[in-house]
Amino acid sequence: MKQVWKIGSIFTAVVVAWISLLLAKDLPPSVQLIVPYIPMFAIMSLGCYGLGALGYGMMVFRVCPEEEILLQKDIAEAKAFFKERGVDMSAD
Amino acid sequence: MELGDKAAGCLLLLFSTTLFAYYTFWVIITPFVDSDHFVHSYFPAREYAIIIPGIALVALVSFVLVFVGFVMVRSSQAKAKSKPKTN
Amino acid sequence: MADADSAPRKSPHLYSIIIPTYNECLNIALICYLLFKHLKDYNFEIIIVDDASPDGTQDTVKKLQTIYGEDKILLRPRAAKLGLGTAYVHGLKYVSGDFVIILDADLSHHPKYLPNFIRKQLETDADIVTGTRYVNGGGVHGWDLRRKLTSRGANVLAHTLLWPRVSDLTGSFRLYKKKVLEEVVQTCVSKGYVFQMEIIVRATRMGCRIEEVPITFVDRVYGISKLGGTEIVQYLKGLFWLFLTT
Repeated sequence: MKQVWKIGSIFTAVVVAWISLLLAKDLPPSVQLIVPYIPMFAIMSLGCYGLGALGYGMMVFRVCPEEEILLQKDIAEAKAFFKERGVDMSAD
Repeated sequence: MELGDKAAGCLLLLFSTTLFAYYTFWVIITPFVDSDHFVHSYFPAREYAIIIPGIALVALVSFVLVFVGFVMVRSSQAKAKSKPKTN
Repeated sequence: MADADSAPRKSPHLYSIIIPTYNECLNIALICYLLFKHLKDYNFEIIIVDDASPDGTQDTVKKLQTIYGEDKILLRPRAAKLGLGTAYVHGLKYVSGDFVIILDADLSHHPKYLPNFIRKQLETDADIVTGTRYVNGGGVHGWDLRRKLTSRGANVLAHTLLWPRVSDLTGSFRLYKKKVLEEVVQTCVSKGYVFQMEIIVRATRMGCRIEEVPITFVDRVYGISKLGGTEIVQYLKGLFWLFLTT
């Protein structure tokens, strides 16, 4: 199933569940106060999750400064190899 | 340099967690609390739980649409400029 | 050369490495040196698809052919700068191996990880092994705060919309079974890094087995090609197109 249909059907199912909750007659009054706020709560949760995932990703972002040094060594090694064989590698 | 980047990420994570916790309390917990409890003084009227994020959402969507539109117009202008030159 | 050929091989397969190049006259030699250094226990061939580089890349490749042999380094150039997706299709025509490896010519992908790719594939019989920069053992060097933010942001957005089974969607350091690459690349139509995303997403939808290997990415060209508004909008357009059509 295409991604858009997958998400669309989940979205429709959730909306239908929400509407049936809205129309239900015998819910305790506090819960009845919460139901209309559910869509905005869902949007806020998604937003906070996205920002949080971004922040977390930034925190654990892996950096490897040592790789630059290793790469320079490899480049020097390669240049020496080619010099031996008469292939001129001009400066980077 | 990386420490600054990690700190920025940590700040963002803390901000989003706090925001989520505050909003959840506001929307889901306060209806269960007696109306003369002191905790209600920390939250504005519940209608604002829809109005404020609603306005923010509209502003965000507008910004994204304007940004995308601006970039697309600019790139089609650049294409129009380069076409007469090559013709 | 003689004892390199008679050394025991760690894998019975032939690995064809496709490298699209444009203005990489120095890097292509360095990459070839590193490939021969790290893959000496494997059978491989290098297919260089050059898009008529004006800086003499093809001359360098011909010199490399005299050193390493024309059976190991195949130069298959094209007449103009025609893009990455078609470069792979072009290269695929000359592949004699049963596996295809793709990597960038600018040394951001280091050949030392290739034995890990090959070993992972042999262990798991994966259809695709993709390098990921975002897990333990991987990493990036050369990115500032803004670049990291856009990369992470793009990743979070793509994961929310597409639910892929890989951690690094835009990477282009991969090992494919030849049949799988041929099949998937027929269905792909986008360009640039969206093309890399499209391959992996379509392969996921087709039910391919995909494994990941940590790699490090040293970005040396960042100073030259900045990430601007146009790139961001192209990415968003590509992402939504993938959302709607895969």
